[in-house]
Amino acid sequence: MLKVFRSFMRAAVLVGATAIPASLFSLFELFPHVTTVFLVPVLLAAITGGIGPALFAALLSVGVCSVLYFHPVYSLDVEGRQDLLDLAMFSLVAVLTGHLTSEIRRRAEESERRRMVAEALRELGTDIPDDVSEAEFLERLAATTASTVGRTVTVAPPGAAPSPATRRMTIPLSDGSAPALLIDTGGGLPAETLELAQAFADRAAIIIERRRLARGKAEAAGEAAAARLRTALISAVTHDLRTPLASIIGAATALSQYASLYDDSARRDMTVTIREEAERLNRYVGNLLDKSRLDAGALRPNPQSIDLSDLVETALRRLTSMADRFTVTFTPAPDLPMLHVDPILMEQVIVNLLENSFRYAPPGSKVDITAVAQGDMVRLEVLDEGPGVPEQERDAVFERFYRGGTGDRRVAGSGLGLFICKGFVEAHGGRIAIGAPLAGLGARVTVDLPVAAPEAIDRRVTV
Amino acid sequence: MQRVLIVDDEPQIRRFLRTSLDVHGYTVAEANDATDGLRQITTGNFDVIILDLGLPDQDGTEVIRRVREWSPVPILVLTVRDQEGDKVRALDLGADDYVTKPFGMAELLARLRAVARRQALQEGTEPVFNHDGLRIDLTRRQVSLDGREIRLTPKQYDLLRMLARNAGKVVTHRQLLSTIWGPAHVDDVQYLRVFMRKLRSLLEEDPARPKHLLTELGVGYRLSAPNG
Repeated sequence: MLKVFRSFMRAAVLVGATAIPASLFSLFELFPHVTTVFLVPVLLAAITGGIGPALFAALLSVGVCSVLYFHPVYSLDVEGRQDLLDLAMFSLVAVLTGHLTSEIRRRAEESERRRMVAEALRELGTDIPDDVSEAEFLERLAATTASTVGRTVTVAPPGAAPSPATRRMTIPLSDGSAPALLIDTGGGLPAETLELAQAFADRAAIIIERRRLARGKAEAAGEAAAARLRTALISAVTHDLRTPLASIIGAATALSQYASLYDDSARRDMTVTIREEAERLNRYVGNLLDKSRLDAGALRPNPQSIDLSDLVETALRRLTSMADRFTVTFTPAPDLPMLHVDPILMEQVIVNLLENSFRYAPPGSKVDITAVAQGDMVRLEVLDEGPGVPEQERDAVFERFYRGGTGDRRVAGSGLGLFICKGFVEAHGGRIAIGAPLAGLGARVTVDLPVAAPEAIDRRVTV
Repeated sequence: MQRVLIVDDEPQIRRFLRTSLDVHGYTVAEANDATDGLRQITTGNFDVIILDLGLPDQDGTEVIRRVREWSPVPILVLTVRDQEGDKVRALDLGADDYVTKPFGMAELLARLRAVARRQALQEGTEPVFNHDGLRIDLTRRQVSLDGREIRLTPKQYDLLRMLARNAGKVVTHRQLLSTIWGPAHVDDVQYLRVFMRKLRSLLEEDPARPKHLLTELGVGYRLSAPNG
C-alpha cells in the first residue's frame, strides 16, 4: 500500500518538477508548445510506478499546462482541442509504457523466481548422500522449501490431523506411504508458492525412490557376493575337516577289520596316523571355534598379569612333536614386565604363530622368539627361516582362510591361524604385523602386547 | 590293585577308559550320571574317582563338594579347554587334578598315578623328592640340582615344598598363596608369578622350557614327577 502511495506521490513530484522549466520556456517564449516536455514525467512515472501513477501524471500534466496557458480545459476551440489531444497522447504513452514496464518487471520477477526454483532444486540434488537418512533428507527438504517460498515449512508428523493453519504437500511414494510437508498458510498462500512447493515434493519423491532402488540393488549385490563367499568357504572347510577324517576312518577300519593281516610295525603306523590326524582335526576345530567367537563378537578377554615365559612354555608343550623338529630359542629381555592379557587367548596366539613357522620352515631350521619392552608395550617377535611372506601379501595374510602358495602348492592348514591371532591380539588393544625379515630370509611376525600396570606388582614381596 | 570309578555320561569315553585302565591293572567301575556316581562312591570303596564335569543331571563340581563333605578320596576331573574357571573351581572345591579333553592315555595315567601318590606323601612315607636332577630332601630342607646345592629363601623353599608334596599334581594359585602367604593374599597372583620366575631362574636350565616347574595357564603350577 505504502509503495503504491509513494509511486503516486513520486508521479506528482515529477510533474511538479517538470513544471518549472516548462514555465520558464513559456515565459521566455522559447517554444510555442511546451506540453511535450510533460512526456518526461509521464514516462518516468510509468517506468517507476506502472499504469496508475502514469495516468495520474498524465492528468496532472494536462492540468498544469492549462494553468500555464490560462485557457479553460476541455473547451473545444483550437487550444482546447490541443489539450484533449495532449491528454489522449499522454494517456496512451502512459498506458503503453506502463504496461510494457509491468510486463518487463513481471517477466524479470518470473525469471528470478524460476532461477531460485532451479537453484533450490539443484540444492536438493538428485541423490541422498549415503550418510544421510530419509528422515534427515525430509528435514533438509523442509528447510530448502521454506527458504525458497519464504514461509515456515515443517515435515508432517505421521498421522497429523489436517489443520486450517497449514497446507499439506504430499510426497507421492510408490510404497503407499505418504510423507508430507506442512506449509504455514498465514496471510494467504499464492498459487505459485503452492506450485513451487509441490514441485519440490515431487522432486523429493523421485529422489527418495532412487535411493530406495539403489539401496535395494546394493543389498542384493552384497547378498549375492556373500552367498558366493559362504559357498566357497564351506567347501574349503568341508574339505579340511574331511581330509583328516578320511585318514582316521581309513586307518581305523583297516585295523578293526584286517588286524590279523598286519604286522606290528604296520599296525603301529596305522595308530600313529590315527593319532596325528585326530590331533590335526582337533587343532582345526579349535581354530574354527576361535574364528566363530571372533565373528560373533563373543570374545570376552579376561586379562591378568601374565609372564610371557609361561605362555611360551605352555605353547611349546602343546606343540612338542612339531617343535622337536626345529631349533627353537626364546630370548626374553631381562626383567621383561608382565603382560596384561588373557592367558588362554594369548597362548593360542603364540601356538598359532609357532605352528605357522613349523609348517612353512624347513625341518631343523631355527625359530627364534624374542621379547623386549617398548614403552608401555612388550614387543614379541617370532622369526623363522621359511619362505617368508612377500611384501604385497603382508596385510592379506591376516584374512580369513588365507593360505600361502597357490593351487596344488598350497600348504596344508586352515588359513585361520593369523586371522585368529589378529583378532585376539587386537581385542587386547595390541598390534600384530608382518615385517621385513632381518637377514632377508624367512618370516618375521611382530606382536605388541599391553603391559600390566606396575602398581599391580609393586608390593613388598616377602622373600 | 587300584579301584577306580569312572563317572561320565559318554559311553564311548567310558569304554576306552575301561579298556585302557584294565590293562594297566585297575579295577574299573562305571557310573553314567552324578546321582549314580554319588551312590557308588558312598557304597563302594574306591582308590580314585575319574569325574567328568559336564554331567547331565548335576554339575560335576556339586559332586565334588558332596563327596568332600565326608571323604578325601582322590578325584581326577575331565574338563574341556577354555573352561579354566570350572577347572579352578573344581580344584578349589577339592578335586586333586584335571585332564583336558581330548587327552592322551599317557597323560591320564600319569595324572592318576600322581593323584594316588598324594596320599602316600601325606602319610609321610616319601621324605625325598627326586626327579630328573632335582632332589628335595623334605626332612633336611635341602635342595640340589644335578648334585649342586641350591640356596633358597624360606618362602621359596615353602613354595617348592608344597609343589613337591603334590608332585605331579596341579596346585592352584589360590592354594599356593593361601598356604604360603596366608588367606589374605589369595588374590595376589602377580606375587606368585614374580616368585615363580625367580624360582625358575634358580632351578631351570632353560627357564623358557622348564623341566620341573610347569605352568598350568590360568590355574596354577605343577612340579614334574617321575612317571608323569
